[in-house]
Amino acid sequence: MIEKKFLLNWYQSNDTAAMEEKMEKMAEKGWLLERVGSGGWHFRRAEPQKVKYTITYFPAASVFDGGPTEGQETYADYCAAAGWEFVCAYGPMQYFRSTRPDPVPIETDEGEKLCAIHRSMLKTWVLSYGMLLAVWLLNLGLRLSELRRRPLSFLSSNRNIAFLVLIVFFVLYLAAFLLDYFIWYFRSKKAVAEGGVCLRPHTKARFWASMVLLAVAALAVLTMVSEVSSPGMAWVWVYAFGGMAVMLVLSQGLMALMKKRGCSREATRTAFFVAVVVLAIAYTTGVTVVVSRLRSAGLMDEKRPAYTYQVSGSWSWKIYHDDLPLTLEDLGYTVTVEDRCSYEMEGSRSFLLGYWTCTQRPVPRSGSDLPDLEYDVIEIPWDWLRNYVVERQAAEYAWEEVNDPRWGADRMFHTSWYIGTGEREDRKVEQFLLVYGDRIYCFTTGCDQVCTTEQLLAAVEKLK
Amino acid sequence: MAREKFQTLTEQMFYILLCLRGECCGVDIMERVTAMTEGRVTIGPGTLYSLLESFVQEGFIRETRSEGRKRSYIITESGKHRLEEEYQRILRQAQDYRRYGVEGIL
Repeated sequence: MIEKKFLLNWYQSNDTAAMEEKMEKMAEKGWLLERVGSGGWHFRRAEPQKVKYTITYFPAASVFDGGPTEGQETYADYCAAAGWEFVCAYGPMQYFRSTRPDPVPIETDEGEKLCAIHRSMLKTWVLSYGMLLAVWLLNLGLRLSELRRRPLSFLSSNRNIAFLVLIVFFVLYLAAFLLDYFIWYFRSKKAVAEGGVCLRPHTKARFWASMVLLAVAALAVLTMVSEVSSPGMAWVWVYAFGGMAVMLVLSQGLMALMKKRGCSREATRTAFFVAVVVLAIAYTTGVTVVVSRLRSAGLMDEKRPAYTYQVSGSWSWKIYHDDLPLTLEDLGYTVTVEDRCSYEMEGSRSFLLGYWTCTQRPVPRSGSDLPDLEYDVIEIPWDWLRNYVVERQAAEYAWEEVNDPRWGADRMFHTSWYIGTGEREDRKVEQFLLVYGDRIYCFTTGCDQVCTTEQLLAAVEKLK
Repeated sequence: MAREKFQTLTEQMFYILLCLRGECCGVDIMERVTAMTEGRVTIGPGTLYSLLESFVQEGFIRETRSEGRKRSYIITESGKHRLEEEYQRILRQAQDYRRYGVEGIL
């Protein structure tokens, strides 16, 4: 027979009435509260009975206290004199129960009750949620700045999109919690001033918001993990999750140990924060070390090269044989085996778009006189997004839309400039943005470039 | 904040101060107030604890004895003055009621 039970606490910390009702229902089913942890309640089996529970706030108490303070003990003495048995405490939250049929309530002044809740909430949940919100807002700012700087590269990764969605949900959740709490506080304060009682918070709304956040977080993490495309990345994820779990266990374990040994609140709090900072530094340093080790071992490569060519000494060159939409051969160059050309498409595809930089370059020091070919390819299956990206790129680089049937493109944008002084045709550089179906190509031709406009025009059939 | 809080005393504040005209242990105040008011006013232990703390901070009462965790308090001159003010306020309320509510003078 199960003798112990654990229940997650989904309730809002200021909704003491709902938590008390839950405790009372559990007692009726034969489960008495034994202790409270950071995640929820621990019950022990007992005779089913009618018990009245009251959860009060004692603002002077802290989660770093090894045991009840003198003030808490005096408070518990007063409660005991009124027929309330102290059960347990978690930080400022104090749990009492009474078997008397109609005990005097612990709080008989709603103003005092609200004041105690507010002082406790400010130093616990509001403070921690506020700090978390600041961290996530900083994270959001960094991600948005990256999105603004490199939108195509950012949006071509499901991992980036999933992480951004996760951050946005976290920010909204935390902001909604804080806003909801302060609305509740000011409305309750008004109600109490008018002779009423503290209002009931929106616990159900909070529960469902938590459920949605959990679902989004699970989906985002699954998406990020499913994007793992190298054995090294898998190890990075193992380190990321495992490291966080170890950090949590070590910091909480240290706090529990110090509390058990009866250390002072200040000593426990200082040791806890020092441990968190040291562990966080060790964790982030560890990430850098793990990634660099995996990278040097070649385990972070998202794709395997066709072969690795030893240029000289310890300098090796990875040769890829990716299927490029357009090659130097298409542009009329003669490429031989001795050139050891690497054909590489580097980039990724998300559910929104694909973005790759295509390069073809001979191995260095091979004596090859072939130029390096480089161009961008964007693939967007969504018309609205493709049109938006094209218009935005055109506006950003001042490209003009042209209609030249020789290119056979669905849409075509063009810009040109001259190198040096004067407008000499042999110093002209041209840039083309060509849209063929779902794909957008970006080429540069002319002076000091890999090909002339005529060469590109001759090869354009391959892009259609 | 505390000044604003004690501008008008609630019934519970009033009876705690009244009860402490004589030295009394914190725990006993609850019973005394219930007896004084024949059960009309009850003070919860949580409310009593925080009000005693606030009264000490405000200088309305002072601690007289401490035996372990058992502490006794007594009202100060400042507390007596505040209690008297409250009494006068209630008295004026009662006089107003008599004049306008019972005798009907307007």
